[in-house]
Amino acid sequence: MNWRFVPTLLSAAFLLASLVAQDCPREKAESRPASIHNGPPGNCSGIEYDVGGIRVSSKTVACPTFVIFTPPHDVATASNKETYAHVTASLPITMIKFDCEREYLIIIPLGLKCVAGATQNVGFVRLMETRPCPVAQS
Amino acid sequence: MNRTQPTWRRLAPLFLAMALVATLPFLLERMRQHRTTQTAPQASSSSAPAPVSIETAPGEVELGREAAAANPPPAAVDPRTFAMLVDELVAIGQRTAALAQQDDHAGATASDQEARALFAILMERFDDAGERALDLGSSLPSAPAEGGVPDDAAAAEAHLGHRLVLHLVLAAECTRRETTAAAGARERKDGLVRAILDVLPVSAATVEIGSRTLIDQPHLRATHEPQVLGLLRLASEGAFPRSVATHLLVTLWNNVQRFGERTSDDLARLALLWLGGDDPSQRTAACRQLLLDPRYRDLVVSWLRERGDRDVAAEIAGIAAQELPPDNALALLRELTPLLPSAPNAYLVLGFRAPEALADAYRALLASDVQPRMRADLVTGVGMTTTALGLEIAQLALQNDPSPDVRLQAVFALTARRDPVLGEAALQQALDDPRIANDPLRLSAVVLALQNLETTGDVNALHRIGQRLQAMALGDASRQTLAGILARGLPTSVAGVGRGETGDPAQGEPAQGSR
Repeated sequence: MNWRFVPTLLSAAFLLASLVAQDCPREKAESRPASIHNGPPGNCSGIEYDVGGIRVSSKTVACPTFVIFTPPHDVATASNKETYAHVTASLPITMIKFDCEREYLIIIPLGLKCVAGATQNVGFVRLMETRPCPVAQS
Repeated sequence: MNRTQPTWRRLAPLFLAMALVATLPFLLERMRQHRTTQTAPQASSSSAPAPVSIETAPGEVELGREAAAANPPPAAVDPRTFAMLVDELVAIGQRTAALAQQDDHAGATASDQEARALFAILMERFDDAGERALDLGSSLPSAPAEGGVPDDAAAAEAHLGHRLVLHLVLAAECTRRETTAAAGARERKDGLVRAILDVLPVSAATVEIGSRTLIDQPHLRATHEPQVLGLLRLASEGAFPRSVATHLLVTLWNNVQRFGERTSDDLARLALLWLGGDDPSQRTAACRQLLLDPRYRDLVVSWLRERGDRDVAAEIAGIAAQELPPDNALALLRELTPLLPSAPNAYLVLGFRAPEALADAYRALLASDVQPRMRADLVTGVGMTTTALGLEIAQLALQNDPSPDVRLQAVFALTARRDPVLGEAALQQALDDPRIANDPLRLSAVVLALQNLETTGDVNALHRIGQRLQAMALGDASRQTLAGILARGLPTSVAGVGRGETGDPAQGEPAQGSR
């Protein structure tokens, strides 16, 4: 083997590594499942009443102020490899607001329904895939 | 072949004699009652004369009335069983609901009064109403949605009605027994709660009835801890709902501290022990307990950062947003930002609780132009409220925030107000920003915000924004989404007009479903 080329090869390898490392965020795409979060309870959430000398609190109709749905999506997390998280699409985070259909202080609250309002987009999440970092072009 | 008589044949007469002796008192009593019933009407007719108006001098004895008081007529026995009374309550509840839906206020109120009166009768008749309710609840068939009773509206409503009534009975019984428990005799109350915990895992109906009765109520005590921990074990095995187990544990800890059965230091020590455990319910209860104590709040944050678990961090952020004082919750969310860069759910909850706190925090961060991700979440949290303050902050962000991503969040908040003029102005302003207009990823967010404008029904605003977007560098998926919005919202002859150039092929976005 001609040992004179070893320093050249090493220099080239070092240069190549530095070119890749310079702009590579070293990230990967990590999936997150869908989630549903309820807001604070709203007007339908219960009544207090006296029956036969007993004072009872009833939380029989749980009507959240709103519900937020986040679809399955990806987030960029740290990686020890020369990769990045490439965004492929955007998906909406949706919110549905609820109102109590009727407010009756009745002991058996059948028919007291939470009525959903319009669905609104409140933000967005991303779909991503992990890709190798490209070598920087001169 | 001769056989000796079997033992049972020789002893049979003895057994018969013993049975007769045992039942003789019962038979004699029945005979006595029968004779009493037959002679009672004669006796009452001779001792209770028909009411007659008698003028008597003061002090003079009224023999008829005295005789009637001494021999009152036998009280009518209500033949209805506990189950029958529950069925009757359900039927009244359904009638009340029907009257309410017809907006017959007087009728619904009268029906509701009838239900309350019958409920009082039920509670008075059965001093073990709670146990009976549990028994009935555990024998309820599965709900229609679970393939139990026929899947129709009437069956579903009846099933719901039974669950509601049984929950009411349990709640009333627990409250009733709390009165005697307060006097020092807790066993009957604690025994009922133990019975509730025992039947909780039986079915979805018992989970619902029991959990509503116990969660966030003062009935769980230290004596019930082993059973609650048992439910946690079942949850770990997938045999019991995890969220219910967690809420029961949190309720238990609240109660033992509130009623002095354990000190906050005791619970803090237990929480520190559970913090590193594997059980998610124990971990959540531990985090919550420590978060509520200012002495340990920093410890929780350090532990979360060390653990690096975003799911747990998101759960803790949600608890903080719901339960901590708003300023403390904001401080915690700020501390968690490295681990949880975006937490819109927590900020939305906090925004409904304390919009002013979020608005102040946003203005402070805007002034120093730091933490753009937190600024975006703050705009989401306060901007999505229907308050004037939410509108003010969203407009401030759109006009003045240096971060295009924060401005995009403001666009979502403004388009969600269902005001087409406001929404269109926000979208137009965003598209005027070259950092948004020239970025296909940010344009995809604008398309999603346009879906909010679609719900206003303003065809002209939709058309104007749609035309402008079509001429921009959208990705393939965003272009498909936009086409769907315009196809739904615009007249057919207008929707397909003026398609712009195709987007950057390097994006390669997959197809997105329409909303």
